[in-house]
Amino acid sequence: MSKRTQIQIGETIAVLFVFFILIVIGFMFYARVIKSNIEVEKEELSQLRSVGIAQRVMFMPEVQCSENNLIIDNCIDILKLESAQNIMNENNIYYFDLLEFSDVSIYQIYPTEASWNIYSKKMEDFKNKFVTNVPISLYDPVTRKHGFGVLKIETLSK
Amino acid sequence: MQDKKSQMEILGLAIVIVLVLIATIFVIRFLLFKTPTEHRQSFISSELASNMLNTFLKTAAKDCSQLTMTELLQDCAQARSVICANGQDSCEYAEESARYIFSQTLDKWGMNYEFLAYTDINQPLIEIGVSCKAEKRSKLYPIPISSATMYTKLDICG
Amino acid sequence: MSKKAFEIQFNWIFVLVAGAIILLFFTLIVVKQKSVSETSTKATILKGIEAIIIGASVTQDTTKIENIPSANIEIGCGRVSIDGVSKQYQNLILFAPGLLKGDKLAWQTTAFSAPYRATNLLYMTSPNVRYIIIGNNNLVKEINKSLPFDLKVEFYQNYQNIQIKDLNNYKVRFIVFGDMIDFPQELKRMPDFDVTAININPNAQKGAINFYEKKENSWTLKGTSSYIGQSSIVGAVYTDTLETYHCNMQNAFLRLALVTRIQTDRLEKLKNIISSRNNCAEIYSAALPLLKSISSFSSKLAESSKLEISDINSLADASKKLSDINKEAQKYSCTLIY
Repeated sequence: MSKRTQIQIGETIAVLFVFFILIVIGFMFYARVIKSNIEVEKEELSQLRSVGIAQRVMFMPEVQCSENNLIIDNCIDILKLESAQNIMNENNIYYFDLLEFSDVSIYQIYPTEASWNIYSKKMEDFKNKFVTNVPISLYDPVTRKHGFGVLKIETLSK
Repeated sequence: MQDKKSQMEILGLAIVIVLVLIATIFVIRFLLFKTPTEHRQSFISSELASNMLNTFLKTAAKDCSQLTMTELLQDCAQARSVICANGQDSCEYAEESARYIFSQTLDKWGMNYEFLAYTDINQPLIEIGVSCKAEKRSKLYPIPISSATMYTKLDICG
Repeated sequence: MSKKAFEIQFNWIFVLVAGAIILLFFTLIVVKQKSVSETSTKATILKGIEAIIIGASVTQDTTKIENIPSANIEIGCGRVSIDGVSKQYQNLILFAPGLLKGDKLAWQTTAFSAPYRATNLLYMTSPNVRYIIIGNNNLVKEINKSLPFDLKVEFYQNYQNIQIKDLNNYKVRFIVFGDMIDFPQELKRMPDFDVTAININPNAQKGAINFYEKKENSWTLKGTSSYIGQSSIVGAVYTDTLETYHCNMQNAFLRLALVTRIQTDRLEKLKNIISSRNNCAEIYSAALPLLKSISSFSSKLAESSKLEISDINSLADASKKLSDINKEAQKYSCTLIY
């Protein structure tokens, strides 16, 4: 009788042991799934950040065209670009709040070629790099004519 | 009787395990294989055709009395009286400029596209690129001319 | 005791202990998961607010009401936090009460121009905050019209014979144009920091704002600041502390200073390039000192501990004169200054 009882206790303990092992395996699996979800969310967040930075640059009053304080969409004033380049580089820390780790350049393609790099803050060991190219009109207030340019925004994230 | 009862019990357990396994498979399918939403890509492609076309139409021609591409296209659809400094007429000049700009942008970015300028879609005045077979983002821009309306259309494939 | 009886008892004890351990294990997991889930919700709300802040920099004259998970959002100078989960910003311009409660968020953006657009101002509040506007002039009517429709806004042209009742709002904000009103006694039971007021002497372009807070059953003056333009008055309407208002205005002036430097360089280049057109050169020469004045005063305001009314007046005057010169430039078909 006592032997039977001992066997029964042993059985119960064994069942419990196996049960807990199964629970632990289940949780390891669950943790892995959650980790992969976090990676996916991180990727989405990086993309959204990249889009946000691109939009911020396109609407910055430092470079945007305006006509009597009316904003002209999708347009950059060339005369503002050189001083924007200097001022934004001098105030790198201020603009980091807006532009984070990114590289913002404007390339004129037509009628002549030119380029300006208005902001650059690199990250040493980045994991993701998104390049966004936005066609943009480059307005020369002297001739009052528009050229064709591309706004290139490279955003870096870990 | 005892045997049948035990067998029924085991069968019951087996059914429960099978149901749990099926539920787990569904959970794995939706949790593990989640792909990141392509926010950036949809932002870029939804704006690109529109920005590209608007910017191109505002651009001033280099060697053609500083007329804008819109003005050149209007002349192309009507009198064709404009002759540029290099001897080309408005249609040829606009087409060459468009080819150059698109080659420096969309071609370099590896995008397929089709650009059309027409009053009658069956007889386009300017046709650049190849028509998109599957998915595309399109922008249609009407330009008023004296007798009717001409249209410029840019389809970016993918 | 017989062996069988002992066996049964031991079995039950064993079952109880084992069951308790298993239940405790799962309870711990559930509690941990609940805490993780709550932190995740707070992070999601913060992400949503960050998206609004980014969106505010690209849109202007936008008003929106968003549904959010019910939360207590604390907003301070350069900081947005929800129960310990916070995000810091260096140069945030967000006019909002110190605490936003509820499941809805009302936000608005307008341009801050002096006279050209320097940045967008973002305003945020909860529809559970009660706003009481008192005044009788065009400016107060404009302010009243500009506030989102979903907000609890009460507008009184004349405060006499009005009894303000306690409607159980968690915050009440008075915006008084003209003479300051007496403290409404019905609200004396509310916590002091939840009943605030601003008093403005109405001048659409510039002026002083007095910030008041309830102290027992009367108003106490917390401090005085200044405003320039309608957009900063609206900022004072939304923020319930002088410190937050001041912090946000400093950030706005800092941005104005940077944009003005670029405008100044641009105008200098323009003046050098098109010197042959006499009218334009004269116009640009007249505008340059005004730009330098705007730059100097906005830098001063960005760094000072108090927004001095004299500096605000000088900035507003330079801004008005520049606006007039820009119209002159337009009249003579010169390239506009801004």
